[in-house]
Amino acid sequence: MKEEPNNNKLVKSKILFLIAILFVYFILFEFILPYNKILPKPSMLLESFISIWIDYSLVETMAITTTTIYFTLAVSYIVIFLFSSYLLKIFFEYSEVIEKLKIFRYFPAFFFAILFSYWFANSIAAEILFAFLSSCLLMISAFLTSAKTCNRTYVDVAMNLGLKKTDIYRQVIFKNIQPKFISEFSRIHYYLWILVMIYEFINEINGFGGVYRTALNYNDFTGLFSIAIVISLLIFLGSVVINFINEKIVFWEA
Amino acid sequence: MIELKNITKIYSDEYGSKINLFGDLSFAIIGSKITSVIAPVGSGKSSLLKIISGLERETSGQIIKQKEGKVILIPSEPSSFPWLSVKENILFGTGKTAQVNIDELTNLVGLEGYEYHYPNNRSIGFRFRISLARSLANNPICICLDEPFNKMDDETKIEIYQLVRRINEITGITILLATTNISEAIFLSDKLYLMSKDPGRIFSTLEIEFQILRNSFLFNSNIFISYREQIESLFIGLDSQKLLHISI
Repeated sequence: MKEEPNNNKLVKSKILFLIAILFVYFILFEFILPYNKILPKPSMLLESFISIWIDYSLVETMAITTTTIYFTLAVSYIVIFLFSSYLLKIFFEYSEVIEKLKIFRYFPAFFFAILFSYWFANSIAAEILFAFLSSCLLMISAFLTSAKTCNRTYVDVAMNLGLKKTDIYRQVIFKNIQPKFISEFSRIHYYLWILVMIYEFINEINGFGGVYRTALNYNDFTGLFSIAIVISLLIFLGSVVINFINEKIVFWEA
Repeated sequence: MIELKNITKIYSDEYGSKINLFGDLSFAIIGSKITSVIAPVGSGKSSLLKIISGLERETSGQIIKQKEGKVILIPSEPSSFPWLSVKENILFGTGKTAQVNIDELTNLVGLEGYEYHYPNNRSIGFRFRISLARSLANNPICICLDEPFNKMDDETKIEIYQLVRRINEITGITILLATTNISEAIFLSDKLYLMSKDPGRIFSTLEIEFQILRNSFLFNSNIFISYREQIESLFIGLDSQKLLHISI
C-alpha cells in the first residue's frame, strides 16, 4: 500500500512546485515575452523589489498595516474570550435575533469601509477602530458558527454535575468549540488583511492599501507586483505564527 | 433505593403527533447493588436514565429517592473533557470546598500515575475510568450507565465490568445500567428488569446470583447460559428479539 506523504514531503513538494513555476515564469517573461502587459520582466521585478522599500517607505507602511492587523486581532480575541459566556447565552437563548442579524452579511465590506471613512476623518485611530470592529465581527461570526458544533454530551454531563449555566458556557461550551473557532483564525486573519487594505486604499492613507493607490496612480506595474509579493509573504508568515500559537493553546480536538 | 412510580414521557415527533415513550413505568433500583434494565433499541433507555438523573422531566409519575444527593449519568459517548487533565476532570463539578482524595480515586479506577495526563486521543476504556472517578468524586447516591461499553473491545469490556463490580462492592454506591446487551447485563447485575418497547414498560424481573467469580470464564458457565436463554425466551415472547443486540 502507498504511504501517506508526511509533512516534510508535503513542504518539499510545495517548494519544488514553486521553483518550477518560477523557472517557467523566468524563461517565459525574461526571454520569450520580455515586453507584455501580463506579467513584469523578472529582472525588472527584482530591481523594483529593492527600490520599493525606499520609493514607497515600505518599512513604515509595513509597520502601520501589520500593527493595525495583529494588534486588533489580539484585542478582539481577548474581547471574545472575556465575553464568551454572554455571547453563548445570546446565541442559545436569542437565536431568532441572531438569525435576523444575518441579513447584514450580504452587505459588501467595501461599503462599510466607505461608510467608515465618511464618518471619521482620516487617521490611524479611525483605521484601528475600523480594523477592530471588522475583526470583532468576523470573530463573533466564526464563534457563533462554531457554537453550532457544540457536543451535547459535554453539556449534559456538566448540567448533571450541577454546574450553573454561566459556568457551563465558560468552562464547557467555550472550551468544546475552541478548536473549531481557532481553526477559523487563519481565514479571519486573511479577511482582515483585505479589509484593512481596502480601508487604506479608499482613504489613501499610509499602509499597504495607500501604497497600492499611489503605485496605481503612477502606473507602476512592476511595483504593484513587488508589493503584492511582500504582502503575500507577510500573510503567509502571519498564518504560520497564528497556527503555531493555536496548536500550543488548543491541543485538544473538538 | 430509588423508586419510579407510573412514569410517563410524552413527546412530539417531527409531524407533531404525540408519542408516549413509557406506559406507566414502575420499578425500584436497589441500594448498594447493580441493577440493569435490558430493553430493545429505541425503547427510551437513554430518556429513562436522563429522567432519573434529572436531565429531563417526566410528563407524569413520581421518582422517590430515599437519600438526597446527585444521581450521575455516564453517557454512551466518552464524556471526559479533553481540555482538562485527568485530575481536573475528576475534580470537575465537586466545588472548591469539596475534599476529594485524588490518589484514592485514581487507585480505585486504575488511573494512578496518570493524574496529569490528558484524555485526548486516549482509549474509550481510559476515558470511561475518568468518568467513573469523576462520578465518585461528586459523591453520588446512584450512578447511571447508559451503554458506555458499546465501543470497547472485548478484553477491555471484561476489565471494565470487573472494575464496575469492584467499585460497587467497595463503595456501596447504587449503580443502574441500561443496555441492549443481555450478556453484559447478566455479568454486571444483581437484579435485571426487562423492558418492552412502544410503550416502554417492565414486563419481567430476574435476580442474578453466581457462586463463582465473575470473570471471562463466567460467560461459558451453565448458569450464565441458562440465565441468557431465559431472558432470550422472554423477549422472543414479546417478538422484540430481532431488536436486541446480543454479544460475547
